[in-house]
Amino acid sequence: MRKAKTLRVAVALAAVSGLMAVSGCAANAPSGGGGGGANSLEITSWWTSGSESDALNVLIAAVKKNDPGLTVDNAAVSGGGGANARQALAARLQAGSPPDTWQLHPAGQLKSYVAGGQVADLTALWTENNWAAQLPKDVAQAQQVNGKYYTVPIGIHRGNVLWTNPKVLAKAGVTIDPAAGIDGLISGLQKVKASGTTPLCLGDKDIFASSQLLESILMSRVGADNWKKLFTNEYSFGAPEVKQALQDYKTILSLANTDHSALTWDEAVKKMADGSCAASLMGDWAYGELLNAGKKPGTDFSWVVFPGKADIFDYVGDGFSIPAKNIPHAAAAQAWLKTLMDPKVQTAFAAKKGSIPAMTTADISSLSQYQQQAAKSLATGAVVSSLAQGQAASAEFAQTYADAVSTLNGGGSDAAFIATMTQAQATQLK
Amino acid sequence: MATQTLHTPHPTAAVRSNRRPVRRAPRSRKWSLPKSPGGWVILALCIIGTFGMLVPVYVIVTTALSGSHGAPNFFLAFPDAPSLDAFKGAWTKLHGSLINSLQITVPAAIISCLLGSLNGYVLSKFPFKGSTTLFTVLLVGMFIPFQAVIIPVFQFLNMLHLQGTIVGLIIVHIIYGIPITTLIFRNYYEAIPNAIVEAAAIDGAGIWTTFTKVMLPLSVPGFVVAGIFQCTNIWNDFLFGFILASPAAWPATVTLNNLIGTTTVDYPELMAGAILVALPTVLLYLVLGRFFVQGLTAGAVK
Amino acid sequence: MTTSAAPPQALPPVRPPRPAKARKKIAHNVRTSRRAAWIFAPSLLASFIFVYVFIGITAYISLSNWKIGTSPDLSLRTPLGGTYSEIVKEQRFQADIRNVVVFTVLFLLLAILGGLVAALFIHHVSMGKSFFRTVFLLPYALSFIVTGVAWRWIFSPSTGVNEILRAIGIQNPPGWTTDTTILGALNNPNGTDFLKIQFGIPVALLPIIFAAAWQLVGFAMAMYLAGLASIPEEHLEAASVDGASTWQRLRYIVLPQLWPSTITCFVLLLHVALKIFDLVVAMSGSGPGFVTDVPGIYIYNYLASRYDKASAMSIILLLLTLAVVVPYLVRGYRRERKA
Repeated sequence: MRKAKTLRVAVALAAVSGLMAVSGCAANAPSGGGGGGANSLEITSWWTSGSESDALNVLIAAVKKNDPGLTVDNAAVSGGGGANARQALAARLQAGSPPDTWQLHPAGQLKSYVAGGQVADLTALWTENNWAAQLPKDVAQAQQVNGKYYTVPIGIHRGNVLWTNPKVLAKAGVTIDPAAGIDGLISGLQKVKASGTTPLCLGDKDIFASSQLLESILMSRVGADNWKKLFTNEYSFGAPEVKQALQDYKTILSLANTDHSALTWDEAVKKMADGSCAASLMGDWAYGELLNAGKKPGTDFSWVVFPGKADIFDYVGDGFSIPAKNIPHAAAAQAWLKTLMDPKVQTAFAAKKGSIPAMTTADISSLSQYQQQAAKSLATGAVVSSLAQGQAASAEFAQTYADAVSTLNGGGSDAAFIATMTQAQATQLK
Repeated sequence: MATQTLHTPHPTAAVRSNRRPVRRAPRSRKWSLPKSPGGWVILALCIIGTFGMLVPVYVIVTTALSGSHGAPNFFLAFPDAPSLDAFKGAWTKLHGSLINSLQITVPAAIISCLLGSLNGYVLSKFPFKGSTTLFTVLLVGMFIPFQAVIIPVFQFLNMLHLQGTIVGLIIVHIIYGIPITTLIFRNYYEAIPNAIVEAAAIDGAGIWTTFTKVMLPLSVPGFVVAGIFQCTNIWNDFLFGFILASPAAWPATVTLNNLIGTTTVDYPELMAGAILVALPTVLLYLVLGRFFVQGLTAGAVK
Repeated sequence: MTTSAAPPQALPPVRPPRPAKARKKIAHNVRTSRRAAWIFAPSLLASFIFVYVFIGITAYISLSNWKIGTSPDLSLRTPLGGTYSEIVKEQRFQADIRNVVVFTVLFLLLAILGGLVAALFIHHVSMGKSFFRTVFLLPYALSFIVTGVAWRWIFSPSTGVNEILRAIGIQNPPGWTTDTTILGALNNPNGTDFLKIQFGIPVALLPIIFAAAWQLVGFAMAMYLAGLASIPEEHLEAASVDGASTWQRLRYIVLPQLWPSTITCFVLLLHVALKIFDLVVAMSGSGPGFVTDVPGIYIYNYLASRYDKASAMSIILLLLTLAVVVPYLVRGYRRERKA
């Protein structure tokens, strides 16, 4: 009796679990095959925080307006500062079931997808719509690999912005003058320290905050042309300007909050706006976060072009690509790309994201004061790609740089940094 | 005190008789206050140890109950206005992956236990030439760091178009769970006297009939032990879920880790999420803890 | 809890020897045994493929040029093993090895000693045994992620334990996992030699070691409780009749008899410690200067840009694990054969 009952229970359990597995199978089919019906669009990105997802929703609303019957699947992946999203995307690309479109940075990050044959050649679309003429030259250049276009830009972020707290600076009697260069910045920060406040708020739980700081200093010291030459192995990491920049970085790091490796980048920026520090270096995606946190530009926080001889615009691009093979919904993807290059859509996106529209034909007069100033910098300053965001070079080189910065933060020597980067230049830049 | 072991101490005890089974050492059922100062010291130290072990649990619970007011400033204080807001937020973010975890854990645990019991049965009752060697070879699979096989597993699942799916994860967990379930069942069946198997053979039962009609009914404790062990291991797994699952198929541990995120951490919600993820295994442990311990110590008694 | 911090090897249970009659009966079933062996075959085959073949593939990848997952390149790198010589020179690799060794040693000390002490107390406490046992073993039921998340909050520099320290007047509470100090640093590298790290105990690892010990001390305690329960009462009674003190009984009877439990604990906890990943990711990530980085995280990071480096580190991790596990399994196997 007992045996029969046990057997029945076991069979029932097995049946239930079989059912669950099958239903799980159906509900969780490899994404790409299961999303929506015939007219749908799946978008992968890492835009999950407040201002980012608002901006993404603007784009989704725009593409739906053009095609009311379209279902859009927002497959944004959180975590790791984009690393999780990129990993999930890489897994799907390897499995041969890509999404309809994914967000990426142009130039260096784009190159690895092109090398793997993963992204579609969009040159025909570009020439048909004459997009190249509607973008700044450097930006258009970044969307190409070997003369062909593979991605479509939606916005332009600046990586080297020094956000400041006007009240703290006023209390210390300091003004940060860009023309005074890094030396002026350092002396200003030291004056702030003397007045009793932490000079710099840094949040490098994700190391990119530190690598962003170092690259801003590097750019400032070596200049735009030499920065570009670093990635063609024409300029050495052992040059005196680089050594000077490393010294500056160490000095500035000593003027930052000691618990920086436990803070996230937005916590650091918000602390600065709350008055704990005088300044914080971060890309202008922080602008959207600060607004989201209720801080008022001009009163709670302000900004300054990063000090240096010239105005160097550290370009971090937002854009989208579509897969080269196995694209689930080709028509919808093409419509998506065309929607992105609509000047009105670009302005609406920029308003939420804190970036500048990529198209010169987009109207910026309705955007904030910061964004208008940034647009002016873009037009007049020298535009270079960011290494900290993986745009200036390949993923491998960017990882080597990030590791080298982490070692530096841990007390590593300048000589070690130079040796690592020089070796990477020789072996990893192809 | 005796941790009840899986082994019946005497072969004839398994024969259904009117005698009560012999225990290894007497288990005192009544609580008694310590009789000596040393006894009081031991009791006091145990109580202090208990507090020490439970402080993190307390911290998780109070932080989770802080809701939207933010965590209490003094981290050992109980929040002034406990609220369940954090749980609501955490539930919205986690309930999909909690279901995923359930869909992965239950089938994988059941199937790996069934396979383990079959293997244990064969290895203990029908030892063939080289069975010990092969068993040891199988056991190595329990100890390898899974990073050493993650890339080939990923490529393998890709080939079968199961990469990123729940079924793929179930298969992986079954295969890597077989060594441990085999070990548990083999040790369990060793304690069941061969006389039973022989009696069945005399009655004309073959291998399968003996298994289904004789061994399985006796295996319920073994299944409970192996089942709990596998359920806990699979539910708490992170590496396989992180790398082999697509976001739609993420188990709860991966989603919980993502709540840490790159922007300001919402600690109350994070702690509430941790409680939600921990609840099933903790409940399983509290209810069936005795068998849990047996799983840990299977074969350790020497 | 990661898969397979599992029960120990197959030591034979204590039971009377089989009567000769039964032994003969089993010999009769050789044919049946051979048929039964086929039931075991599928598991063995799956294990062969999923463990041994896959390890072989990983080893091959570590010798190849495969960098990005989506562009496979299985040509062998020249000179052979170039990836290994490349990574041993890296500061991050050396830091990882130092960290995992320090973590393993200190964690084992803390967990095993803690488990032993807890087991001795709980074994002898007069009331509430199962309550205390339940409490100590509770963290074992949690996932490493849950543990990491909780202890991250506790050791967060601006809140958590530091709150108490500040309240009692310590002005500069420790930075816990953000601290880059290396205790007892034996050397001071200049960054361009082969040795790029300081040998010592990274202070940042201590909170993580503590969290891991909190989670697994119950496991060690359960092992020891089982071991204590199997010590025959007569030995202890005889000793106390002979006038041995508690301490002497402990030292000369109990501890030696607990040696097998210690070995089992040691091996099982060691293999968990070497492949630690989830706990560190949830608690602190790689840390400044890689003070809390461990091989598990290194492998995960490099899956995005260098399959060959990730595989090489995996193989090194595997070898470290096998160095301890294989002797243990062989020992168990020999005992089985003798029995």
